[in-house]
Amino acid sequence: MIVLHEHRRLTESESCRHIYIPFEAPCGGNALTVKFSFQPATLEDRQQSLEIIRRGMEIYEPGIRRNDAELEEFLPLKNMLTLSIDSPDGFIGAAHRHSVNQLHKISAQKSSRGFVPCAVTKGRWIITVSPFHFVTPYVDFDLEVSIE
Amino acid sequence: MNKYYPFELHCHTFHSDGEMSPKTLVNASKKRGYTGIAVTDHNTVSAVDETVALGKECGLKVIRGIEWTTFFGHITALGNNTAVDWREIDMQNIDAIIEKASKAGAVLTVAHPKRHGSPMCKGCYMELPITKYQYISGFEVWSQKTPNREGYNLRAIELYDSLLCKGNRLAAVYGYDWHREKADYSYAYTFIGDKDEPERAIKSGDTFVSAGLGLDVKVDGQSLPFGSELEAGKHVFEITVVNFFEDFCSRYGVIPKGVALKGSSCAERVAALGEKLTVNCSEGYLRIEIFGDMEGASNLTLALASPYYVIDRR
Repeated sequence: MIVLHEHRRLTESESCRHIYIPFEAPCGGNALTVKFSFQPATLEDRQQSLEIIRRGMEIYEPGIRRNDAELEEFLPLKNMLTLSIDSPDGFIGAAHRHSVNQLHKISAQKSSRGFVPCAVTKGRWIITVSPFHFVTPYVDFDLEVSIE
Repeated sequence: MNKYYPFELHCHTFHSDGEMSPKTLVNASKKRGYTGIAVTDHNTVSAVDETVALGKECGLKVIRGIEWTTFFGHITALGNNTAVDWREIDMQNIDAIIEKASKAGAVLTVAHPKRHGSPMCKGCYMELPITKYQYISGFEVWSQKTPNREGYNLRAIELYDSLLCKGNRLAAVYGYDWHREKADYSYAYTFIGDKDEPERAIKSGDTFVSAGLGLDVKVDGQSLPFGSELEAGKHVFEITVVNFFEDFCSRYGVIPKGVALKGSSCAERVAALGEKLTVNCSEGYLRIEIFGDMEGASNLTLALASPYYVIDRR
């Protein structure tokens, strides 16, 4: 049973803020499945990427000039969204990784990497999407939660 | 001679963005000769129980940990770290957060404070405006693969010294930030003065970071744990290094050349290893560095110890 389906476009002003998406589990179940995807994964424009890196370096290592070859070590610039899950009893973990297509399963016996095992109980659950500094003007994400 | 044990205090598994399973991490840690490690996945503790159990099976001390990976800085929290939810942390409340976590028993370390930050490394540069450093125990003066050659670590050490100058007490630690078994290699360690309760030793400042060298420091003829207090006045320091791992120095071409005493307690002094140094210490801090050559590069810091704190009670 699908209990949540959310599609959003996030703009730069929404990065570095937590987006809390609560949903009700109308009943308990054997497992909770979270499908999460986002795009774009990276900034494709090389020149723009190097310019962003150069601006960053002015903050992180002031007074040091780096050539393009040195800046290229940081390519590609990636978007990153961390997904956390709260059961009705509280925080059960997070998926902090660059993968743009993620599938997480939560159950009392075993949960996917990043989450502790947790019984799927009736009540208010929360998905938190935490977008780190975007490297593209916007990021689209798609989130679907189901209970079986 | 005080005994010190090699630890890696900053490790990730595939429960966050690392590539290692808990089992791979434990096996690789044993192979590298660590007495113990801290599992510090980004914003999750889901790998901890399994890693602790695997460590017990093979005699590897595993410290329970997490790396709070915020938009504006990273902090590792060892021990009882459940009092804080990483999403609570922001630029306005960081002092209240570290106070709450520390009082609940977490041992906190500022991670890679001067690494290149977002968008290259997400939140890696410390921007959180921490002022209550009495609730922070450790400070990563060294980070990553070749820590004694990186500009960001030199800047971290500058910041470390400025915090010590203000009277803060912080253990010097190394955090490899270990994500991959084979692609990542390192010759550096955090040596800790207690293998059974490493969190306690970090809290008391009994640590040093090193490119594989062991340290033996005598103050007035006695071994004195790092982080200890000294009375103001004249003290005799005798500092020698030992090759902690068999063949380590030859493998990495490590040639220790001398010792430097630094800090607000005295003017900087440089001496040969084993030379007795008489130092008139005033109130402040005093820390020890070993310098020398390594892998063909000269005049590198080979070891850096947490300070002694000089108290003037007169």
